[in-house]
Amino acid sequence: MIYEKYIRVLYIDMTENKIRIENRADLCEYLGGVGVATKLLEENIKPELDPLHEDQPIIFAIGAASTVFPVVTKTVAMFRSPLTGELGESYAGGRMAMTLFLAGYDAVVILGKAKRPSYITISRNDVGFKDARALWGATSDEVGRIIREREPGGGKRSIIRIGPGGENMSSFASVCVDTYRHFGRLGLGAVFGSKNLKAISIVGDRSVPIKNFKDYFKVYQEIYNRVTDTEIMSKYHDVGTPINIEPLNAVGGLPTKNLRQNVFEHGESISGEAFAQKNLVRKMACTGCPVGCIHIGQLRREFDKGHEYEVISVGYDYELIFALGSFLGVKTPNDILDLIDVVEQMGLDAMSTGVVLGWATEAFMKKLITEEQTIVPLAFGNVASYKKAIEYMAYKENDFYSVLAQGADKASDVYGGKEFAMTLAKNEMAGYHTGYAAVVGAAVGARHSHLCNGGYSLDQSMKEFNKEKIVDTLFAEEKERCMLNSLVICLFARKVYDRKTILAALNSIGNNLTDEELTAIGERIYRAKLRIKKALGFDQMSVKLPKRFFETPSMSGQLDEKIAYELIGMYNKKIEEFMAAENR
Amino acid sequence: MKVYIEVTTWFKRFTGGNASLELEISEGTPVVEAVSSAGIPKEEIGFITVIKDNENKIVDDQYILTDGDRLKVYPAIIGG
Repeated sequence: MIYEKYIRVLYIDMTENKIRIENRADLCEYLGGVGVATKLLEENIKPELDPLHEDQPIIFAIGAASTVFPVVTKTVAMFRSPLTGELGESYAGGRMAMTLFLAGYDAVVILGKAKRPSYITISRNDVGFKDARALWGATSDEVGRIIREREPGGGKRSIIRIGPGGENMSSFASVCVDTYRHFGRLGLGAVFGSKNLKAISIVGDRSVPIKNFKDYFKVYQEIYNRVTDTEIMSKYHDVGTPINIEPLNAVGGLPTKNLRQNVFEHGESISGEAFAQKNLVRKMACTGCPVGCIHIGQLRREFDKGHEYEVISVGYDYELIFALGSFLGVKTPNDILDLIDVVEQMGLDAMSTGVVLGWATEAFMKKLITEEQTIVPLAFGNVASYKKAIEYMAYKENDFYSVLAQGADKASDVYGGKEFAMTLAKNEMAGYHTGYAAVVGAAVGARHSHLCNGGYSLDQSMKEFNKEKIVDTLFAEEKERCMLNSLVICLFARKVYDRKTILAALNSIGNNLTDEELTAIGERIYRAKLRIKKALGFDQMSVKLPKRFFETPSMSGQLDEKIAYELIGMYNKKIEEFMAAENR
Repeated sequence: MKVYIEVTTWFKRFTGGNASLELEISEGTPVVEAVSSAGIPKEEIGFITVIKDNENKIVDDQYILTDGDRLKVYPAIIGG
């Protein structure tokens, strides 16, 4: 809590409909955000129980500088992932961090299971447990609209909710935040479903006076000016992350057709520029962000015979265009937006959905699965089939789709095709076939995301291949991001928030930390994550990499499987030394 | 000698709105210096490719240009 020497935690018991609030001074050594959330997860997780058991916790946390500085906009969610069985960690923007801050909570711990479908309302003075039976079955958009109409607090409110994918506990179900933002990765939506939790509405309406305003405003202005007046972040607002399509396609790093190819022959037609020219109608921002990187495309589509058309607005960014575009051989912005909208309504993670369907398409082509199982003929570029298949996954239409809804790793366990199930430690790959750092970075990353350590970025900046440099840089970046995510900044702004800027910002709001203390906080958080992973049975050396990564050339050329495993081994040794150092 | 530079839309803000440029350079010029002299800041350059045998091949910053080379300049990959 800003200006306080404690972290204020709201505990919600959904079984007993009870709450309690604790002011935890002991959590301050984790700073906030992912640090506090990791410690609360460690305290509450039940390693012996299934990820979807009602006794497993959901943790939300905001950071030490949330809302009061530009681009410090995210909330972190932590849980046991039903997709990987281990550390679940996901981030979302929107208004949620602002509402938690202005409701007076640094963190929320949700335990238990409601007796019937429910939604929770959180405000400064109250927590409500509401009947959601009438909302069960509603899509993300529908439930958002209904709660907006029923609950007070418009303008100071955040509504997070699940769709059918979460209700039916797809292992990669997402949680939609305020429309267009999501806790996307690793299946938080399924954990909501397991608790009969359809939605949470948070209202933040208190005022938090800034002390020592002169010092604070000076730092605020410096950060604001760097964000808005320099080129550091202008690409994010201009074309947005879809700007990546063109360079990645040109240099052979764009995963295409289940990574059977590294270049998409229709790359130009799905580039960021193509989306901007044909579909872009609006840009939006999370609360507290002057950048506005959320790109909204307009899709006009026929919803019935007799020239019946509707126009819908769909959010898009690079990862969605990769996963539901090049990875599935879908070659127009309209078709990609159409698929994104189905994923959105069903409440699934777009990246996992695309990669899972990529595996299913190739498995269908290779006759590992039949049309009796898939119901529709799956083929790269067949948008009509993909739209149906996404719904079938969300509703677990038959035995096959029930397995598919557990991710590509599980599907390949059952039906074969492990060598082209494009996962890294059970999490579906991100849109970068850039080289060793991308593959190894996700394999060793605490949550197996490209955002754990930015391996794709290292592949781009590294001039000469150097094993030690890859391992050392990934390790250093993982620790640094633990610290950054304890704030919790949007990682798009990580070049703005260097150490000097972070210290100036924290000091101006009365948090007098030193550079050494920031380093120690990052290390403390990473060690806690590694302890949780160990308790959940994760063994780094047992991770198997799909052969396809080494068959299709990457941006850095053909990758050698032996070298990738050697790098994982080197990283694992580094982790063992890191953990042993704590005990000395 | 003369080289030809093609840029993606993002870079047109640095090239006066032009998508393609002809550049007169001296022998031995590294590609990054040629692109920079066309107005594109070095820190904005992600990848440079040279078209050889009808293929776009990535070259490093210090690649020495030859007369008639056709280049394409791409922005750096961005993300979290």
